[in-house]
Amino acid sequence: MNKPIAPRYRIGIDVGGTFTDLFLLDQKSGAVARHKLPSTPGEPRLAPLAGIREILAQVSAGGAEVAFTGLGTTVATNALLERKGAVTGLITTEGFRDLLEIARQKRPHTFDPFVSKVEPLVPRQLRREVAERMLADGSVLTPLDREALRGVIDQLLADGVESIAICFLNSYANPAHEETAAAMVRERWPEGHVAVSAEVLPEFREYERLSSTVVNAYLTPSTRDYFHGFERDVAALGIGPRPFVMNSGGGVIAPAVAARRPIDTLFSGPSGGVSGAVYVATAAGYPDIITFDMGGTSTDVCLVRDGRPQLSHARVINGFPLKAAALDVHTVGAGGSSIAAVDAGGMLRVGPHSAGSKPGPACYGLGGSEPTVTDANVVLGRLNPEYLLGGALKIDAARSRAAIEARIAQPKGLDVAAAAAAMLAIADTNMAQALRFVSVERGLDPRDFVLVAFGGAGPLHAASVARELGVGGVLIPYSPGVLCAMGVLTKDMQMDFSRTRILGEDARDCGALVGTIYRELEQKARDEFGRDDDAAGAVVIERSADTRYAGQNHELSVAVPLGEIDAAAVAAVRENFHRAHEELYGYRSPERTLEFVTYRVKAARAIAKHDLARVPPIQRAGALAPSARRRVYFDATDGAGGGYVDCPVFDRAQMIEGDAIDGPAIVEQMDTTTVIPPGFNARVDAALNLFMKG
Amino acid sequence: MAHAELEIIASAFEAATHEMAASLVRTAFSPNVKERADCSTAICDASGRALSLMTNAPAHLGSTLRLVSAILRRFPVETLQPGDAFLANDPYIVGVTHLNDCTVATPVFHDGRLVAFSAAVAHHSDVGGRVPGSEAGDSVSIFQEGIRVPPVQIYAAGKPRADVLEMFLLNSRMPHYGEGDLMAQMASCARGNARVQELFAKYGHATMLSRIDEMLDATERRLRSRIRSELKEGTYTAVDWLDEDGVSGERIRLAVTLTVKDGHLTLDLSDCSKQIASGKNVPLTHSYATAYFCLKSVVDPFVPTNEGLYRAVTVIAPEGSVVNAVAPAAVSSRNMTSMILAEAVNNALGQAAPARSVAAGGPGQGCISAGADPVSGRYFINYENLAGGQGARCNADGMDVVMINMTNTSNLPIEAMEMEFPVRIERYELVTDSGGAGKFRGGLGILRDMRLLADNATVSLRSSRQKFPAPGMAGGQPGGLGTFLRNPGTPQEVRLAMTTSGTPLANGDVLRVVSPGGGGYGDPRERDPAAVKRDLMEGKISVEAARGIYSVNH
Repeated sequence: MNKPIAPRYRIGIDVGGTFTDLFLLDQKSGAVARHKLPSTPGEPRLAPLAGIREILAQVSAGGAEVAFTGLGTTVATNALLERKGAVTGLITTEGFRDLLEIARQKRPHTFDPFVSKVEPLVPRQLRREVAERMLADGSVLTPLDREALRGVIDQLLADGVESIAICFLNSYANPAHEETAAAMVRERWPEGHVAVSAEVLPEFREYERLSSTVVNAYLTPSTRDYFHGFERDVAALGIGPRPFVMNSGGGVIAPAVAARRPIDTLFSGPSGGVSGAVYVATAAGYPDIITFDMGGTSTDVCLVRDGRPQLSHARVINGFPLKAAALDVHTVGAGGSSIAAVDAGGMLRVGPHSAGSKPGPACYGLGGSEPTVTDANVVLGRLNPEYLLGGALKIDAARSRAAIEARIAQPKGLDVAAAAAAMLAIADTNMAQALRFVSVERGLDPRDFVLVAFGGAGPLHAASVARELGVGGVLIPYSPGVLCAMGVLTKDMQMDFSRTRILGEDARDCGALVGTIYRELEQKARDEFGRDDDAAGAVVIERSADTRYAGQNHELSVAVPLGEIDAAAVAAVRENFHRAHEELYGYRSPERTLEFVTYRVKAARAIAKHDLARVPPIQRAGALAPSARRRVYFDATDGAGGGYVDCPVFDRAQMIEGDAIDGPAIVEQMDTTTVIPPGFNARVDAALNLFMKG
Repeated sequence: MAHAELEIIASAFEAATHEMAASLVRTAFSPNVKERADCSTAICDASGRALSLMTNAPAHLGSTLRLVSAILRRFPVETLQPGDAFLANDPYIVGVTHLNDCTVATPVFHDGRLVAFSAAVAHHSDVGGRVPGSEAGDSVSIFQEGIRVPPVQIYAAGKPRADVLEMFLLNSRMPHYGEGDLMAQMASCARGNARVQELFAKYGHATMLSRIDEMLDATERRLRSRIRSELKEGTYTAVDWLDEDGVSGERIRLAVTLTVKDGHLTLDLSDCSKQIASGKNVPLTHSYATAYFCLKSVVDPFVPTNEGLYRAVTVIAPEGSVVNAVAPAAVSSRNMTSMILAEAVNNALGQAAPARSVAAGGPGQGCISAGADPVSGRYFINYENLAGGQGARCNADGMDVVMINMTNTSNLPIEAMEMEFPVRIERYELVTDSGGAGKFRGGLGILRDMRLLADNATVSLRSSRQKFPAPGMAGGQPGGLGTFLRNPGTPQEVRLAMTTSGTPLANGDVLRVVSPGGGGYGDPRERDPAAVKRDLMEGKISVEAARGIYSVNH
């Protein structure tokens, strides 16, 4: 059969540590398909490949019918956390090879001297120095000693390095020495991997730039194989358009870019979830949200204002500081597997220890004997007492009960239900405080936001966390389990570029110099995007500048107009800065001179998107009816005590637009369980989201 | 009764001080608060008991002990109003531990009744006095260390007292930092007030008061139980030495007799040196802070910090001794001394808890450079504290280059310094063999060369472990010594005094700071040969040390 095929399917893939999720959209009909399969950490390329094949088989389609493939993956993250990167060498300025180890001279835990710093990714003998020195104004103090550099390169290669990082002091102000050194390494070692600090991150503050460069070098060899391999795998399936990779900043990039800059993918997992949540919430009419992605061992939280997630340019992963644009996702080390215990003073505590996924909660029967938050949910009837994951995971409620009885109820002199309720009350309070902390750090009031809950445990706890925080409501997306995979389909191509150069607004030619820097950054952006041949929209540029009053040590990022940096443009930046300053510090000093420090360009290129919020119509005869009933424990609405009530349990798959449920009620679906407490009511909207209010 | 009400109220106090601290760091102005987070926050009840402390800088653990009583002595309860705010920094009147730690406190009311105070402590960059940065090891009285502020009212019912604020700021060399940090402290306290008011509104006055008592009792019970399970009962002694007082050259004895009994600690410091004639005296509240810090870090690092923790320890420190100085003794550099005191206390606690013992470490070396920038003409103060090595732990090497004990502040980025100040950093590296040898090696110190590029620049230096190294433990060897050198490796090389202020440096002079390493733990000959080999490959020990001290042949 040889009829011409019009590509119509868009596929989003999210590779997690345990499972790989896929989301498929038929852009012609609006139909969607979902698929879940185990990840393959040993051979990370296998799961996404198998997943694409399987989901295409579900809709009986071939590769030629695929218009878009996007991959969110933790492959780089896992390589870093498990320290499975390359043997990496460092070339740096004479006198500074130990900067990587000296870091910021802080110990990781102020009160516990037994908590150690993370080992540097490059051991001391592979950190080599070369004579050269740039000054802060970009002038050369000591020329690069090329002869010595040749020796250093030979030595590193003789030592068997698989990747080389180059970072010189003040290279943000003048990268010439780094460029020469990189060229010499490439000439000597054409097949090798080189990461250069002024390319990775041309910003000041040497340790953070060095750390980012070293992490990039450490990851590059394996991620290069992985991302290029993924591109070939996709092509081999007969899929014409090149695939994309999700980055940490909430956009997608070409696999070749991800291969070169793995540090931009380290937070792509959480970014996908936030992107999916933002898409769903914006479509539902809620542009200001707090995402609440609660899993077994940790919970990810991100503030989204006006449909735009907050961005961060500095994050820490496993003790390594990274400066790379990323959605400002805050991770709280608490989740369903957090362990409860009574401390030596008789106070009940939940966390910070976790049972993880092995042994996991006591009810898993994998040897866990300590009571977890999940066990409390089982005992109180909030979670199904026989199985989770739609039947895929059998559980044993008696083990939950026994663990809580022995470790909490007896020492506290409570019955098991009251002990479990106390555990949840504490867990929910801790969670609400963590969420409030995130908003306080940003100077925002959580009451102006809606909580978007997903992840295995998010919808279980969302209502009580929302009550504690006082947020405006709770949105549970229709498919909270594949939100990350779906999020990949909602993104534009996007990259961030930056450069530091300190200029006073009164400096001669300030406007012209700033204008030149922006034009260079924008050219770089167009060059990156130009490499890709996918039919997409024009490149859209946004400018910002980290700005401060002269003499101040901290900058605020403010928007900068496009075009020439003339007097009007500078005046606009001034006004933006004064406004931001007033917002943060409560006053402005219009008489003081501004300094521009770091220039940023965000480049985006639209990729045609389709209405993912459309959902296939569900046929249901008659009114919504509970699929089951069970005894569930709730606190009384006045917060005083509580007890078990006979509670209806609904099947999410049967719920259609307009359905309304008054709490108490439980809603079950394959990937999560939603608790609607007494005093809350929930409605299903046109996109089949559940919206709850107390 | 609601579930877990006690636990929820307790965690709300902890969360409130965390929130206050986040707000303080976010909105502060000076690099010292913003980048180095040299600040802490607290909520105290109306009688002054600490309900929660968030100590970014554990040196502030003692700063709120007497704060509320000092305020109420001057401003009686019945005169307080919502919107009032107080400022204080005097060690002798309010127990703040040196004049730089300016403390703002605001009263919290519920139904017209005073129920609590929120407090924010921030190390201000300069509060006047004879040297830039106000801290000098060789000041001889507190009058040389800056403006002394008893509790004064800076806001009355929400209105600023412009006269008082102006007098305070007029005494600082860095008034715009001072003002910005004060405003951040006010904002931080406002957050604390809001949280406490919400709690009282939700649970009611009577419930809150009884829950607060229960909370403090639970912390005390927890500490006492941990003391019983972690520490062997008995009496233990330890002595360590601070190199010199900074004026006469006399060394200072820091001796502790620790008694562990019935879940309680008594730290008798009666055998310490007499009060000295320099800024290295320790005010009593700072000796308390040292005791609380060591107890928490050895026995229960995760315990919430409140009054209940304090009840588990008694400190005996005779008035007029170096650990309980009386006015007008200078105290600005009390950290130099308390850092060594902490090591003596740690040593005694380590004898009682061998599984948590840590050898003595190399404390940070303080270095304030100042002058006029020849290009901009602007006056600069570059305040630095360069870390040494941690002492070896009973089960692991000491960490290289970390701040120890009550300090955990960061260094400043070299590129930021070179951009801001007329200085050039020429070398910053680990010092081979500076970690005390042992079965577990002490952490390495650093060597850092800074060239000053200004006319008429001065440096003020404060240090310890430049004469007496960090001792090893259980057969481990001592760590390397610290040093200050001018123009090292040139014919003009001079070793600078370890305690100086206002020492002039010529344009182009290099100041070398070498920080001390940590002591080792256990017999070096018992060290795992693979660890010796790794240290040798990394150049953290020399071939001579590997052969001689560790008896390893390659």
